[in-house]
Amino acid sequence: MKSADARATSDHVLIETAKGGDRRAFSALVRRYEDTVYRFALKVCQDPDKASETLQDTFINVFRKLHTFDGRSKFSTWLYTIVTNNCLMKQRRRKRDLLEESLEAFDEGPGGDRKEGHASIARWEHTPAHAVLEIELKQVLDEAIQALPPDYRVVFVLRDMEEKTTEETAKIVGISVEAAKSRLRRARAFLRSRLDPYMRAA
Amino acid sequence: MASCKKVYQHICESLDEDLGTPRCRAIKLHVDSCPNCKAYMASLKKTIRLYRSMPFTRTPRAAHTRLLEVIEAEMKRQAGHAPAHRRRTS
Repeated sequence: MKSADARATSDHVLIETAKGGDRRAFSALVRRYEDTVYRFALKVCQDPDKASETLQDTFINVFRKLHTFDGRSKFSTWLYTIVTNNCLMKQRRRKRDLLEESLEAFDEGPGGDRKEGHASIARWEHTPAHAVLEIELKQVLDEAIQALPPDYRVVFVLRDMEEKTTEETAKIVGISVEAAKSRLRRARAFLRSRLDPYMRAA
Repeated sequence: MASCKKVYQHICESLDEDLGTPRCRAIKLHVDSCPNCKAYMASLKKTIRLYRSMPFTRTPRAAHTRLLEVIEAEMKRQAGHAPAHRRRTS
């Protein structure tokens, strides 16, 4: 397969051609999805070197297991499953990243985490959305998501940043839809709680 | 009418899913009349919007180059093993 042909070819044709041993077809798949995998790995790992390692591990896994992909799910879903497993394995090895704090308290809402009273919910409406471009806010967002336990972070990234459906998120992570909703709810509340002091001061 | 606690426990559904269910309608009714819940919901939505609006990251050149090297090495490794595999299955 020529490079120019590969760029215009569907995933299905590229996958079947790559399964037949065509290196150009596999390389085209890599080029098509490498940014998706790197971006996701960076959001979950929060470390460029770990994201780069995850990128390599993921495509090596894809190369070795492509013959097992039967096309019943979308290729991107299968790919996200592999990169999620690689990310979580790396995160679990990094003990310093594992937060011992339970997120169950966030089911209670403000005050449940004992840092914010129910009677003092600050209004964030006046904070400009484009403020995300500011370096200080980006740092606050990065630190907050880094403090989220990996099992929760991966659900939040898939559902709220990659904009997968809850069903697809559950399938990728290998948990029930109810468990995905529960982790998402706690992750959102945890992040909101971490951003609250900054947003109040803004 | 839902309570504040119920609102927080079902925040996921009330934000973006199953909006037509009786439980969600009750939550929406409560949020509309409760300033604290309204502020809480708005700040949760803002949290999601802020993360969603973070800039798109492309693969750095060094990571891209390293990836291609690793894949090339894997392809060569597999190609080197292929004859042995064929011999075993023939």
